[in-house]
Amino acid sequence: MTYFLQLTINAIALGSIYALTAVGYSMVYGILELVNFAHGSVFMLGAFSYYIFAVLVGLPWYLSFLITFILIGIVGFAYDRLTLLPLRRTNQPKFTGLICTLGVSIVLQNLVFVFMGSNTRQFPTFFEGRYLSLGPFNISFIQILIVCLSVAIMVALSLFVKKAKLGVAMRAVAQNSMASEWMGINVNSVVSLTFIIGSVLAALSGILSCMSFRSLDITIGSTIAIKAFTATVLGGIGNLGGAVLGAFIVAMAESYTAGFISSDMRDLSAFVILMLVLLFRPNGLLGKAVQKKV
Amino acid sequence: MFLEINHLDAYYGRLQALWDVSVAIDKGEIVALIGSNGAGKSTFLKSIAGSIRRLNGEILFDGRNIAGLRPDKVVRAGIVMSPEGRQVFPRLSVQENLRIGGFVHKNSDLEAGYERVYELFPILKERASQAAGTLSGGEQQMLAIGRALMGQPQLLMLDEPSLGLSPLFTEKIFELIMEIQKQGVTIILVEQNAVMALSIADRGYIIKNGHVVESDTGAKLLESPDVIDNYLGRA
Repeated sequence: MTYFLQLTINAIALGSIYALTAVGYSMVYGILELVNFAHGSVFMLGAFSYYIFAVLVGLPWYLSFLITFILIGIVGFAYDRLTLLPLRRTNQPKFTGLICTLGVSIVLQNLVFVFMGSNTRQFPTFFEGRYLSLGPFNISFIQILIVCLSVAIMVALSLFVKKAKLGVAMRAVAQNSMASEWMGINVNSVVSLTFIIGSVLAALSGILSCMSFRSLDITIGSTIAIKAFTATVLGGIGNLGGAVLGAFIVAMAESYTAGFISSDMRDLSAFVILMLVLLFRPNGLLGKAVQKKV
Repeated sequence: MFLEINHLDAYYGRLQALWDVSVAIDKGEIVALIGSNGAGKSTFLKSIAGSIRRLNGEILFDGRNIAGLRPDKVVRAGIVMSPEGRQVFPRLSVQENLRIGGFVHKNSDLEAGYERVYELFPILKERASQAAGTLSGGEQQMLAIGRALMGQPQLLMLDEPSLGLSPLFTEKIFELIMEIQKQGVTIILVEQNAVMALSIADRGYIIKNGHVVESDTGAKLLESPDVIDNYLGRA
């Protein structure tokens, strides 16, 4: 039982990181009906950016965070404007956009590879090795930080989407972009905003994830991409609450698989869930089949 | 002229949908656009709204050429469309739909907008927090018109407001359209329901295969033999 609970605690920290990543996936999907396969690369890019500024340049952590967020925000903005917007402008089929996100993903990964190489690096962290002992449980400070930060960001984000004018506009664009345009919303600006928020969240989760695992290499993006994608599909793609729920389920499954079966199989659990969801509940747990009134 | 459209051609890619369309509208008028399915009525409205990429000709609104302006800029200029098929945001609440309608205005202007809409359509006030997708067709139509009014348009474009509504509801919608006119809003009304539209319109245009084929006062068009034969469906 103690072992089970310890695994659960680990899963909650892991789930927080997946949730931050999955929400970005889900936001972009919600607004463009496009799975953004470059999301994992942005996650990796964010972690590298932090590493470069904090370790190689030697800036203090808060500046490294700040610069990374600005930089990755610009990357997210430019990514949409330079590659996806021209496709939308010329009414290319959605599939073309999908291929485009794969292309961007490959380009980003290889850019980092060219400049940083493929070796694994040690990532800086906070509260080096310190943890809280609660009876038989050990919870590291960094895990607590990750969970608190994620919860705070999720709450802020859902308030924004629910209450703020631009948040409501985002939902409107997601539901009907033509009609939004006719109401005076500049749809491209709203899409840009979505990409910026999604990318910054990916960068943040990339950094937090590396702080938790203490290592960084160029492949971290592809692993997280699969898990966050699974979480998003499981929760019901386009549904932010669903993405969070899905993220925690994926993290639990992964943690228990690693703990009770074999840690070699941990990554397998996400694939198994993905297949089961697609087979039995393709709309996801919280996803609704779309109904239209004529 | 409040709105003056001169020699407008509109294209979908290479396909031409409007040929040399000229329409003039005075301030405060209701002008009806009548024509069968696919005649180009919606294309005409979309051209004004800024949703058609390829246009020739000019669209003068208060003397300024707005042809080719981005849709959000057209709304800011004071022209708002209530689109065909209502197209309310189904998973936003009624009030949120109205809020989006007022997107180009300051938050402080919204209260007055809600009040105006709820006075015209009291049922929307009762349903304010309900998801728009759960409203009946008629209520959705009211919401679509109310949402457009939130943009405080000087020119309101209504695309098929009677589509799919019961005769009773259609009558109600048309009464409200006249009420909106009394508030000083100029209205372009696109309709397949020619009798209803022409009977409340000051003037009307008949569109056929992308051309304007006839224009006159609403009352005269109702008596025109060509109109009776082709659009009013009377035996």
